[in-house]
Amino acid sequence: MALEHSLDLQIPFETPQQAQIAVKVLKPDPILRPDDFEVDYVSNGSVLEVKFRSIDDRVLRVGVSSVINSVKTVVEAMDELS
Amino acid sequence: MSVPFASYSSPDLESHVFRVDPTCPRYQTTDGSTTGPSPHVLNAGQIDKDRPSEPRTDDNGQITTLGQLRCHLTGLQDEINDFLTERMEIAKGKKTKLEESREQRIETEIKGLLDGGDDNGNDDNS
Amino acid sequence: MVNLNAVAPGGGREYYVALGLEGSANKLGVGVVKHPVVGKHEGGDFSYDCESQILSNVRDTYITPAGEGFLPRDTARHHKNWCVRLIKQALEEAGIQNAAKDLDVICFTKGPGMGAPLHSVVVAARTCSLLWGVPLVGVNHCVGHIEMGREITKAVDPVVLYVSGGNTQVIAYSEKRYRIFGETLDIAIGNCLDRFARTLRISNYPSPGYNIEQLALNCKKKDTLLELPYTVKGMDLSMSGILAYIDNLAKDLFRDNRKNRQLFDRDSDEAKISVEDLCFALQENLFAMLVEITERAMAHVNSNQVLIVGGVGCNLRLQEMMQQMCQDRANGQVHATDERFCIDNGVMIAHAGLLQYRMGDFVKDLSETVVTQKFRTDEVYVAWRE
Repeated sequence: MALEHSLDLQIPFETPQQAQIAVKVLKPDPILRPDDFEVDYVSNGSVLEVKFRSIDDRVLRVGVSSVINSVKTVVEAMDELS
Repeated sequence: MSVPFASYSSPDLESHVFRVDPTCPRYQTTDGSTTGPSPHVLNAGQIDKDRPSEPRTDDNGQITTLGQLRCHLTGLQDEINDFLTERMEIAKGKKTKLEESREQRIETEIKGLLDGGDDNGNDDNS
Repeated sequence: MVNLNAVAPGGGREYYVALGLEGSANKLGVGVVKHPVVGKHEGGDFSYDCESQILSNVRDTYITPAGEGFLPRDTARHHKNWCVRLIKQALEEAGIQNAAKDLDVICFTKGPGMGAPLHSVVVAARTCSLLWGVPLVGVNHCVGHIEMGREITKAVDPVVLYVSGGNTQVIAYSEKRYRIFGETLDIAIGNCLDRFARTLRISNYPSPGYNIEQLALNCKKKDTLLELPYTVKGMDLSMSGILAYIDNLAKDLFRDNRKNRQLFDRDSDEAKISVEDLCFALQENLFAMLVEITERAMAHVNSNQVLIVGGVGCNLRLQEMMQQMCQDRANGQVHATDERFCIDNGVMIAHAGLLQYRMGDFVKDLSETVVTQKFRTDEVYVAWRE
């Protein structure tokens, strides 16, 4: 079955460095099984671009929300701890 | 700094765009409506002491740029979650049924992500 | 020969400083620890005596309503929402002004534990590492407990009893590994106690096990011990059957099921057994089993020292029973720590991680930082001991 349910997310950071850090933090972890869900992170200037592709809306919802949760931690850490 | 942005597409919906509206209350909080405690513990009488921290403010009391980003992400996450939940409900009605084994596997997989695939999710493990 | 000073501290300092992050279960702990550079560490097995200074040790526990266990996703939410605040507080209390300069390493729990909570913490750890340019070390949670226990008590080479909500193991060191001599075949002892506390619907604050310990103290019939199944299997033990058995007793007691003559007097129909008696009996029974397998391990490795670590290790009755056994065996000693170090904390992760770091073992690529639910104690190569 194709991964036809997709969501593209763009998150603007203050600097390209911050966007690059976000990519490095998020990249290592497997999210859900590749048969059902794919996610790709790139930084484009100071924007973090995340592309999600999924088998259905339910899997997409779980995966997207989980990644946004992680991004919120990354942003909070940058704001409070750097 | 601009605001986050998301767009969705699927076989039956060419495109749906999510835009952040900074004037809307949904985009002015770090405490999202779809990221609270699970209904199970709330029903058991849980009082939520674990809300996210407030967005950081600078010396002039202004919310920092990254603090605003946290709020925007929180609102966007709620929008996306609500939208996809609604679509899931519709899909349920239509029953474009995946085969059962696949359905079950996905169920396990989601549980694995949220609960870390623990053998007995309801057990203490300190 | 072990040389703990092989990697020099940063910034020309005479000491190492580590930040430790722990979140494998319902406690979120952040600690900062300092090791001075000491000459004797260049050669010899002194990893039990690092002259550690604890600069901060903060913790927040996710507490559920009485009768409820902690779900991984809610526990993960707790950790996500508190993690950055706790790191900030721990750094402040430790007087760390410039983390990039003042820290040598950031240590996090790689496993074992609950997947989602572990993941919540490693996301913060990675971000800090990249923000500050400070290397990461992934720590085995159990090894964290062992090394912290050795450092606090100065026990050189003890048999370790590791008892917590997720683990029950008897461990002894041999040839660069902490080897597991005996362990639970099913549920962990802390899990057994926590689940019984849920059956009793007693508070989870400060911890279910602590509340059972307090109830047991009020048992009025300590001399007529209620009999429970005793399930030691060689070096291992089993506890799920005991839990099922005592759960049923408690339910019969609450239901006022007078047919149960273990609970209700044949003649007067009055309850002979109270909740306090059940708590006492459960503790005595489980702890006797732990003492038995610990003693057997001591005989095997010819040791007369026991170190008790893990959350259940704070239980004073367990410490007392272990002490009794040790005294009977050629003047043995029991080493235990208090709740600051027994219960999961960030300092133990910082301390064990710093030992690892000082032996040159740290993360070279972030792909090594993926957390893992299963991570056995004996998988870790203990480079810092002879």
